[in-house]
Amino acid sequence: MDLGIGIDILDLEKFRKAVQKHGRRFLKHILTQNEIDYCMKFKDPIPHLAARFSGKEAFIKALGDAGDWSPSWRGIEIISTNGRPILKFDVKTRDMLERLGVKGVDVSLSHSGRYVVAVAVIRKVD
Amino acid sequence: MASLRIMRITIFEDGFAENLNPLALTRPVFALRCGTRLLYEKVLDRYPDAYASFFMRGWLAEVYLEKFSGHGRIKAINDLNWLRGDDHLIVNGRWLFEESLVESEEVVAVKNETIVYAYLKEDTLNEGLRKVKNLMELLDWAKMEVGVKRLDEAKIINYPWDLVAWNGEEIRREFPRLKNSLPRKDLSEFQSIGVVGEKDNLLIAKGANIYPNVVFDTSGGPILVDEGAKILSFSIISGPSYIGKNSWILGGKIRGGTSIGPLCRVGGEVEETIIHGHTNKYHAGFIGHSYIGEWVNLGGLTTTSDLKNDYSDVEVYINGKLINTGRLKVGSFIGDHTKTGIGTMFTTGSTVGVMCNLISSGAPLPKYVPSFVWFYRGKMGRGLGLDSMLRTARKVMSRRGVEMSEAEERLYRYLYERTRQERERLIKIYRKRRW
Amino acid sequence: MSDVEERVKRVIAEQFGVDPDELREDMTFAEDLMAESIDIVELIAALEEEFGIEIPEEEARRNRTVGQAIEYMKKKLGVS
Repeated sequence: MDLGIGIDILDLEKFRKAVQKHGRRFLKHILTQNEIDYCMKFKDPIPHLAARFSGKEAFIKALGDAGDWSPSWRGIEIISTNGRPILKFDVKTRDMLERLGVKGVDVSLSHSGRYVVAVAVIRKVD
Repeated sequence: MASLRIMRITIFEDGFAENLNPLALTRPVFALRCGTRLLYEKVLDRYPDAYASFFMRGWLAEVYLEKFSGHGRIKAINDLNWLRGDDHLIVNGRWLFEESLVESEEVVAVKNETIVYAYLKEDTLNEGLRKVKNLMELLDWAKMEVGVKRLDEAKIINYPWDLVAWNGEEIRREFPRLKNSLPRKDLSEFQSIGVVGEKDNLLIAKGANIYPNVVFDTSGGPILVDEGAKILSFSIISGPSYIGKNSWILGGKIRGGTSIGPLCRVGGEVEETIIHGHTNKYHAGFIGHSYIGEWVNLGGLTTTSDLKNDYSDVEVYINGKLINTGRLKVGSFIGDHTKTGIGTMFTTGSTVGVMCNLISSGAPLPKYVPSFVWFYRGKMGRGLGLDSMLRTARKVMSRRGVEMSEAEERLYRYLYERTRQERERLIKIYRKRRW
Repeated sequence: MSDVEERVKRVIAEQFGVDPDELREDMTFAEDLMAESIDIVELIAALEEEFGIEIPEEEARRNRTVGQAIEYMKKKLGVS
């Protein structure tokens, strides 16, 4: 069994500025509609939006070198279930992950002041 | 000529080993096949009482220490100290060994700039080893110390096509000795097989199985079918040819000058070709004047061109340089673990690296494909990355009951890094092409 | 033609805080320009705004150098 681990840290102020400058255009590249809708329910959606982006980046790093392919941000969705983030994938991404021998994935998010941090772990079949 | 009593042999790779790429990416040059045996086996066969050590490129040593750990006669790798303690025959791994050219005097035999062999006595060696830091320095010092003799008749293997060119002749040369040493079956044991030419030049080893309606043509040279091999009906095998241990010929046409190593599955047409071992070419398709590595799978109708339409000399890329072979018939040189999809076509004089995955796009493939490349829809790419490729390689090997060791995996990871720059450059170039 | 190239270079330069004249075709975003993922997304968004087109991010992310990004934009705009 192979384990891959990835970590990402994001500066919230930089993220906030990017959202203010490009708005929806920026968000629709990195988040699905479901994710955007969910985060917009909060008074300050920025940390929630940023945490999801960071989670996806951590996941991509945990995946490691997959040759010519890397997952698209919109092909990954982070859903909150009972306060825990769960990774979900669109069909194409799920197929590719299967081909790469990915058996299990997990992600954890955290936020403090100016920063958001995410860790992802991937279990691969040998 | 009195046979030398040789007790210690060292076989070494010189600075030109890499001209045998892609086949020498995963093995020392003297582990390549010509005729029925590997190059180093030919030397060890002639001196059955001798112990041997090898010198090879550093990054191959770990895997080969592992491979030879049970061997008994192979005692050291890349260990200069092992040359102390006895007279020594030191042989260039690129020399197609001929015992008759070795003489019982202390000398360094050269052909042009290449050291063919050196025979050095214990005292000479001990003195030399005090002064030098590596084997090549030792040999250079020895030239001065014991003198040089020219050996122009020595066959030096410069490029992969040399092995193919000398293959048939080597089979002929090795046959008489094998005839006497290999336990053979009587031809009368097999029903309805046909022999054209001397029956005596057909050697079928014990444990080999020949199905009905197989034709052997020894008029061009001897044929040896080794232990456990299986020749299925309607195969035609022309000599000089060698079918290795436990290999199957599946209704194929094996034309003269062909050596097939152990555990291969071969159908279709093969001519003047060396297939190293553990390789599949089940179905129709023509392979000519080529050297195919280990664990290669050639999909149905994979075909090599071995002759240019204008009958001009074939040129081949070796390590990025285009070399004129000076020959009319040159096929393809394919590295270990490479796979081709159905209908893959290789242009005349192609070289393909290790662990490639080649899917035909309707036109012949590029003449040079670097290692670890996926060729798909007319473009070179990284595929799904090294881990995926290793996973597939392990699956392929386990089907034949072989496990890839950690040392082998490290070797492929090393090669992946080493070939990275060249691969990235060619992927970039191919990205710009329009198909 | 060179207009597209100039505009692309200007957008890239602005995003990474460098002089457009400093940009070379073989510069990689990840190493030479030290781009974080946010930078890449912002760059895509900025190029979309500059040229008024949509850029699918799977396509965009295959461009790892300045030169590749310029080639890509030219192709996207149907310019040779």
